[in-house]
Amino acid sequence: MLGTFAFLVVYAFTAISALYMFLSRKLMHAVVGLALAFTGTALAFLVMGQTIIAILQMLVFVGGLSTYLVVAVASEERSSMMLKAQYFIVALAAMLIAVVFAMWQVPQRSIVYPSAFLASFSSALSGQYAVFYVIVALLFGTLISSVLILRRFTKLLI
Amino acid sequence: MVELAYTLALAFSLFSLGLAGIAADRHLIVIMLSVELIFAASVVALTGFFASQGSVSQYAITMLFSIFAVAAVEIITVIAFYVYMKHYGIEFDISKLSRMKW
Repeated sequence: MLGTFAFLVVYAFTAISALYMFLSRKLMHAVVGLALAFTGTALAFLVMGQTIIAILQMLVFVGGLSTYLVVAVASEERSSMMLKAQYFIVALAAMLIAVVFAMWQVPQRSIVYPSAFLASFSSALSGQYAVFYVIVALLFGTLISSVLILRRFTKLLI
Repeated sequence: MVELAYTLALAFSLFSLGLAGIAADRHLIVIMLSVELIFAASVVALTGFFASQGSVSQYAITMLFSIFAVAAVEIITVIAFYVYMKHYGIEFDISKLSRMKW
């Protein structure tokens, strides 16, 4: 019961942060709202008992991406946001319907605290999943090459 | 104890908010933020499903690593090209993407 209450608090925090991301007029505030939403999802992972995924979420999304976004967006003076209110209201109605659907149609199944999570983490580093890590390495190569192309053509601060 | 339905509700909410941002906004950075929100929703749904099974398998962790890597590289690449376009004064109009329809 306490876990459910904590999850509902985290749910409200995440949803309000994501709403603030769209309703804010300045781009920097939108990025801060996104970082708060990522923090809320990390807290949800903590409530679910998935500590490692919460740590990964904080490291990758909040620590890496949000800091990079703040630095990149800091040069933007004023955003030209053209938010169409009617689409947003329709999407909010869809969100409400989705929440009602998730509450009623999903079978009641509790999330238990997994004890074998560390063992599965160690087995994930075995060789049969090497193709995933090759994909990650290729994506990282894409990132580095894009930065190198930009450095060649723009002579910016990158 | 957390019910599976609550985690799916959180995932659905984040996904529909991200979809609203993509549909309603014309700014490139806000669209990318919405895509990141959809990535976060997918991570929440995946973790909820795997945690409801009792034991989180190694497939979950490899898929989560892949999702994290794709999200990080995508946003960094797009931001880098956004800085490039801003530096050269190139306007990126989202409405011109309608030329791609056939």
